[in-house]
Amino acid sequence: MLWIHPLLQILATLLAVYVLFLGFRRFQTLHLGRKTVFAWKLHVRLGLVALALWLVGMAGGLITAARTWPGFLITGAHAYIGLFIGLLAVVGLATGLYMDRVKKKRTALPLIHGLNNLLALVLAVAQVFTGMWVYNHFVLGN
Amino acid sequence: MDERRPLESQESVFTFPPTADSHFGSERRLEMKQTVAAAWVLTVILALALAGPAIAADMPGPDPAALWNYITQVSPYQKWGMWPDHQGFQPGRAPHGPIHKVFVNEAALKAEKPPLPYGSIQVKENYTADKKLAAITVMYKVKGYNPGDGDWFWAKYSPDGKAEPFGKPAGCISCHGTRAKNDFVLVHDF
Repeated sequence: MLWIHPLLQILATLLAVYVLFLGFRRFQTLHLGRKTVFAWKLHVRLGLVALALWLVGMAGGLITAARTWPGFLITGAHAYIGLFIGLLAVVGLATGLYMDRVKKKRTALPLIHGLNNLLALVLAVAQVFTGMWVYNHFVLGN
Repeated sequence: MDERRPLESQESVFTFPPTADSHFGSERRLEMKQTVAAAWVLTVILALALAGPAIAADMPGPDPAALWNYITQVSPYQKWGMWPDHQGFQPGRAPHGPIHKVFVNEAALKAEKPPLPYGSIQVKENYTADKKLAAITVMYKVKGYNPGDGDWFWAKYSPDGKAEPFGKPAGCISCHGTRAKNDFVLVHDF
């Protein structure tokens, strides 16, 4: 289980980078006035998978920590940042699904959605490093 | 006085002074006995005062090489006891490997409740699944070493005695710190 969590999260993060790339086109159209082709359905589907994977991976990480060590928050910053990413993922999912279900011309909500998920992605990349620290200290014992 | 006379004869000078007052002689004898007794008491006190620090000096400082020498040469840990509720091979978890054995020195074993006394040492032999010794992890209670985290000195040794990491590793303290009320001991309940 210890190797599933990082594998899952790295896959989710790589997918999120591509979803961000798709979403950036929408940002260019709405806020920079550039004409682009926005792959709406693909952005929604892949975004849903990436955010869901992050949430599943986060739950897996917490469960793994609790089963392996005495406490699910024992990994410190890695655990707390992970929980915050989980919160951002829920916000990203909720806003994204809402915009997909209730379609109308918007500028503020897509920006909030994009910034929220961009922050989640930046933190997810940072988690690679905090995760390496956890692996080094808690798994290898170095 | 003839200096070449035997000792008994010399003693007789004190016990039987050449005077008619025999009472004076017995007083002198009593004084001598008291002086000798006092000297013995002082000697014993002095010896104990010197031996105390000498015994304490047997314990190593918070130094990985000195600690390794202590647990392998001075007081081989494999001759120590084990926690009554953690005898022999026990299942383990990362980073200590799937199986382990824990040895504790007498100072630790005598502790009935936390915190453990200074000088307590716990040695964990970390094994692979096929019972091959992979590492030896040690926690050693040193007065004033790390008061915020139980004054424990931590060290992980390879089977040949190479220490890495040691001191105050964040991983050790984070994990064992979840049982700070049990003085950072995870495998034994006081």
